[in-house]
Amino acid sequence: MQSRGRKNTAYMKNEGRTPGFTEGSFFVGRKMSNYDRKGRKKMETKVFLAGDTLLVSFGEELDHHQAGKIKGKIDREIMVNRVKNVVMDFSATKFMDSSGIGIVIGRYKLLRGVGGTVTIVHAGEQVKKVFELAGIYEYVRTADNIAGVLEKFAGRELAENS
Amino acid sequence: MNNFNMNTPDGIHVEFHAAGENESFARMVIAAYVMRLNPTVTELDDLKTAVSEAVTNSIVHGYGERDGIIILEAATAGPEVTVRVLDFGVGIEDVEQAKQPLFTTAASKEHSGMGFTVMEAFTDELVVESEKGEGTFVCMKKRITGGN
Repeated sequence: MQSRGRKNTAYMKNEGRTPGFTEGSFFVGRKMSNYDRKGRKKMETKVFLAGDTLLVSFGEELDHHQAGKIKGKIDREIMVNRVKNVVMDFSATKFMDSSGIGIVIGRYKLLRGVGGTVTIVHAGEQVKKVFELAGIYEYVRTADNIAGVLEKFAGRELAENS
Repeated sequence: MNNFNMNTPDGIHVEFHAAGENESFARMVIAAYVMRLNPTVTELDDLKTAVSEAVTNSIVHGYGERDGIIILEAATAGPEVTVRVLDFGVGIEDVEQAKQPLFTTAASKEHSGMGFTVMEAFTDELVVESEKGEGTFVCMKKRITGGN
């Protein structure tokens, strides 16, 4: 089987955008999402996979329009890869409205059936305020350190997918 | 809020199509407008979020994700900004029911029913008026202290 080479590995495309998710970390996953080569990476939501853990790194804004674009993609990856745990990274998210609540709750309900979890990491002030208003923290976990969170789920190096 | 006067010397009136892409645009419009009151980051975020909810409601519920015109108006009176979001969509049959937290008519599409709750929490005063088949208008007031 021909290897696609290092250019497809998630940690290179992430380029340090997600704190704790850097080259050399234990989390080496296969990049799932389409990468916009026109430089719109900051706006886009990106999805990474490691075993049965999905990392969703949301873009700058998460509103009804953005949620509509990303929801199908997340659910497809969850189904196809039999994901049990979803980590939602908001480090790049400067704005979120109640559409983000819908995304979190929807995935929570989906994963609850397989005994999975949803973890929210790096939610900024504005994002956190909306989550608190919705009382989301009664149901989903949070973490401040993404490397620590992923260690719990994937304590082994994954081979690069070719 | 019948005393809302969009024709105050510094008021704005913006019309745009009910497209998802314009949700971000509407947030930027209100943020740009309210800069004259020197808002804090939190006040700005609160207002943007409230407007985002109102505009999204018009797109999703008012026009059912079909085309339509949404009007965004804003005016200031001292440190207070009044924002109106209007649509000419299906309207709300029971406004009090709609304003209940978690009530939604679009649960299958994962709408959390939090729109009005967010608007109420993030502004000082919220008035919703609607006529079935005619449209809906949401009027919000927020006092901008600017950290003073």
